[in-house]
Amino acid sequence: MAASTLVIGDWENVSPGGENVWTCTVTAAITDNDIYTNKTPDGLDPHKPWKVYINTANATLDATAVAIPVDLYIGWSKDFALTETDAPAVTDGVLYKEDIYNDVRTAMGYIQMNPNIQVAEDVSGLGATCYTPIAPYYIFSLDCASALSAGDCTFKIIQ
Amino acid sequence: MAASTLTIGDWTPSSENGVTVWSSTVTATTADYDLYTKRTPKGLDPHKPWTLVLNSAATSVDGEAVPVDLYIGWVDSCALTLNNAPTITGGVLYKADIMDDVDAVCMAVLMHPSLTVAEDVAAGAAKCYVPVAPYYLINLDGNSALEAVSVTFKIMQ
Repeated sequence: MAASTLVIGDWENVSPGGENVWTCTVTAAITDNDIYTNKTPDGLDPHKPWKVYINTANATLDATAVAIPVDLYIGWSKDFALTETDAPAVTDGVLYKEDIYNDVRTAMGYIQMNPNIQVAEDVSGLGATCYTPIAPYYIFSLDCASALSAGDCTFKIIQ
Repeated sequence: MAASTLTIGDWTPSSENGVTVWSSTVTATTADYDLYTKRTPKGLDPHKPWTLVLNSAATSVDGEAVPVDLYIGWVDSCALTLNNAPTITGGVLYKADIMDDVDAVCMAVLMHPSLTVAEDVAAGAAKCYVPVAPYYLINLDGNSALEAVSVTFKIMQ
């Protein structure tokens, strides 16, 4: 493995209708296998439900036909971060769950994140839900099995 | 069995993004078979979900599988003793193997008093249906003499 060449944008906040909407764009090069965000922003309340939208522009992240699932990491300090081009190493955190969504390779995935979920978890489609452990911060990683296409992937969080 | 030689650190709180993070480090010697915490801190609300992080530095503890047991306590003085098959004062072993193995890996468990999905004891979305109790104690249940190591536990709520 090698150092990531991702350009990871900050989580930018706007508040339409009184809701917080955070947006982060990550730009990958063809030397990257995984796309991941910075830790989620201060201000996201992990005690309440929230929703994450991944690959909002429906970009083709990888030209192969192999699915790109989404992994969830949780972190406990401001230094929480991922590194490496593939199978990322984590600082001050841990991989909590792989495949919280099954495929965002060419289409947006959206997941209800909830610490008190009342239905079964689901990793696909309109009803995707994730039982989310309480933590100060989260990171999403798109876990691609091969080199990515060069391009942008935009993430949004709404709470 | 003999007296434990563990050095058990207090639960130290900090706050990150509105979440309380407690940390405790327990140091074992090669005379210990089990590695356990003090009771959880008073600020932990057992009526709400919390996250337990085990072996946050992914330290090698025993060289073989080390499952995790959950005890509950009902008095301020609840505590575990002995270097193997611990005896509890003021509490009871609620469940063995809430996690199947934390040797040389960091794992997180979603602890929830109103869990609505199946429990899971393995890495990759571990979940435990936690009974409401004033206090909890966490024990790494080694099957043989442990390495001389320090293991850090974290609670997030």
